[in-house]
Amino acid sequence: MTMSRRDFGKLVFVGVSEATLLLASARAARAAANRSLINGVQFGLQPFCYHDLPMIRENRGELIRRLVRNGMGMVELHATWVEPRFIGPGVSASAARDQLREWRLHPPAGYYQAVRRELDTAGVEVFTYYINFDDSFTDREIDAVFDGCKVLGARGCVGSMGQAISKRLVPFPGKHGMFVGLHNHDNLSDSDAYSNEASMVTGLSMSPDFRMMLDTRHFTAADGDCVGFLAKHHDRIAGLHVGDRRKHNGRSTPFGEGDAPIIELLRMIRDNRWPIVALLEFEHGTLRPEVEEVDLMFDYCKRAVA
Amino acid sequence: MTRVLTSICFIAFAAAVAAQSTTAVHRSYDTAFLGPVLPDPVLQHAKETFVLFGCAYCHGLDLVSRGEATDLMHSALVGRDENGSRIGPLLRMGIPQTAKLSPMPQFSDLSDHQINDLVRWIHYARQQGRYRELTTGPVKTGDAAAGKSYFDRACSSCHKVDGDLSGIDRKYDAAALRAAMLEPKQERHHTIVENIGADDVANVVSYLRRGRASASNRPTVTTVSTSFANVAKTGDPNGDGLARWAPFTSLAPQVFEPGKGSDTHRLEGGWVRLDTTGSGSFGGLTSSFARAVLTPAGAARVKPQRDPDDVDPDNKPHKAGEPYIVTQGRCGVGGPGVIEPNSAAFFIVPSRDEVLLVREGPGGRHIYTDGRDHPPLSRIVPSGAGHSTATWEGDDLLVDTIGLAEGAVTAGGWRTPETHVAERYHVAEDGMHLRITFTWTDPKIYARPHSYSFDFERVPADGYAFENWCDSGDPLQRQSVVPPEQLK
Repeated sequence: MTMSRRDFGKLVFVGVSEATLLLASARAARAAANRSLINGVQFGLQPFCYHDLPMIRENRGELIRRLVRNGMGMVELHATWVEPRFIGPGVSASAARDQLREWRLHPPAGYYQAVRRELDTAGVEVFTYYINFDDSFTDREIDAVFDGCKVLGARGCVGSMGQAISKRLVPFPGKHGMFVGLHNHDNLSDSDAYSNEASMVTGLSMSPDFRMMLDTRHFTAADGDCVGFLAKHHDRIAGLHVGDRRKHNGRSTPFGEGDAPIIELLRMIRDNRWPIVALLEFEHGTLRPEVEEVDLMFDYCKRAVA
Repeated sequence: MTRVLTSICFIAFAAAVAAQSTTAVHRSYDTAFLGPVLPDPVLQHAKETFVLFGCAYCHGLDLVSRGEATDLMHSALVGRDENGSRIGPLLRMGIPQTAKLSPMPQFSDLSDHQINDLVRWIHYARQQGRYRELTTGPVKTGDAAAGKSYFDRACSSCHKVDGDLSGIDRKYDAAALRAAMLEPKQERHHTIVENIGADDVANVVSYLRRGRASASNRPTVTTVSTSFANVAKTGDPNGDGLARWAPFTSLAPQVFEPGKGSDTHRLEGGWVRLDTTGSGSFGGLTSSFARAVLTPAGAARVKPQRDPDDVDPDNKPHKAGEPYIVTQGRCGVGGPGVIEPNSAAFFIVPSRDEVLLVREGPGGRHIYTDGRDHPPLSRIVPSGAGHSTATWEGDDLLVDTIGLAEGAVTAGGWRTPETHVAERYHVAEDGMHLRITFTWTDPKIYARPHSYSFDFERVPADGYAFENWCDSGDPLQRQSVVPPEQLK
């Protein structure tokens, strides 16, 4: 293939323009993340809080509007907000799974860049990309997921996988310059699950590229010591899922009504200037619209670090 | 001083407005998620409790579960629960030992009252959901023997097929019977609707309709689908050489049993329209009806119509004995005479699959009660009878008709093939009087439903029908009408 100087010039121009645009939009997003930077604590949202909003890419515009409305500059974006669905009438689960894999391996040109621009334009930065890896993923597919969400600006992939799947993920985050976030639940009867301190330490020991995404609701329900865990392992914690529950597998509650030490945790992050992102995530019930409920819970957190 | 007072008033007003604004924020109610407020405050409170404690986000407000949450709509444990006997302890304990990612939390801190509210909503939503689920779609053909077995086990303590349910197979078509069985408003059926399976429903319906003959050997009533005259008008019915129509009781008893049991078909028999108001002029009667309120588009459609059979539009008087053409000789029936019985007697002949309306004139009207739907309008040739389906509500027959030929409706109304006319046939307690209430609806034509009633008297017991003969190709039938000499 031969290339004229004019062609080369065009290529450089386009490349520089695209890079300039991405850099500019990235700067805009960074500034926007500061929208929810309160007294040194970076807040964000796990959009699961919008219980009434199905997590599908067709609703991404509404999601972004709500995030802005709630004053959030950072988000943990579930893959379903980005990827197409192939499940439908007449499509078997395995066929849909195969089509999704194919899509991940060969996404439309510029697809992730376009999604990134939507978020950047609204001033929302993707902190992490939530995806539950399992045995159905091929190695190429795992790489493709990291490649895609890196374009979105994500710093890591988070999921609710157990220890067995985590072992398989060890080689991947390092080569993409990202981390894998381990998300704990509260099933103490499952030895493969991340639910108590011992299981989480086991997971973190698998790779220096593994970080905890400590869920305060689940850890409290599993009778864990959130404050103690944060004090001891803060350098391996990328973020918190901030929510409240009662101990002993208790129910979810509005912030401040359960046993999760939300105020103490947020103040520890603030006072120690730890780069740990606090992502609000709750599932307590409310009769109010979810956007209002997020406002109220966010207000609780803001007052905690005021 | 005045200025100070004005300022104080202004500040007080502003404070009141601010307080109201603050209150409004805290009163926000997520109607989109919670749905409309229920008329029963206890149930509404139960629903809100179900949401407030987070149950709805996993199990779904209407029990359509999300993610890995248990499907409460079909859970066997919920089906066996009686007033919280099983759900209550489970809520208190939670389910810590599970293969799921997140165990079911425990709700030990809730009061008994709150637990009861959660249980109340779960059962209510389950009954509503399963009722919808089980009554959607056509009724499958079931196994009557299996249906009897289920009936004996679950229903026979309250019901007897030859007692309170006698004749129910004629009263309801399969779909209506299914709906009546599962109706959640009947409290004693709550357990049934929460637990019965779709196959059991089909089996029981088949059992209750077991006497229904197959289509191939079912006695038909076509012998009465010709025409009738009532004896009050015709005198001796046997003089025409026609055989008398077989009395009802001589037909197969599974077709209909007049006068027996619960008088399911009190409508059966002949009826004559009463018109005392009009003293013989139907216009006199209908002039007392409320006029139809039409939409602008509906009013624009109305146009003067004349009888399509009238071939002598100048309406000039004719001398006695002067022949003239008074009809085009059509053998069909047009106009509202099919839907609204005129001065001729008409007979109602109920059977399992249809109610037949026959009159002193050509044609008959078939009103289908076998649960079928109307065919698409594109498949209906508009006519004076249209296409009618009906259900029974007690002894009342509720008819719905579409597919009528475009034309005028009594009391200033209008109809097109899309227009629905609902009819309620109601027999008075004395069994001798019938009222048919017509209600016309069509959003394109009527600003509100257009309704009126006609009353009828029962034809004497020995009334019967003459055959109506019509040959549209016969010139005599069309033209040789010689009006009799008028009374002087």
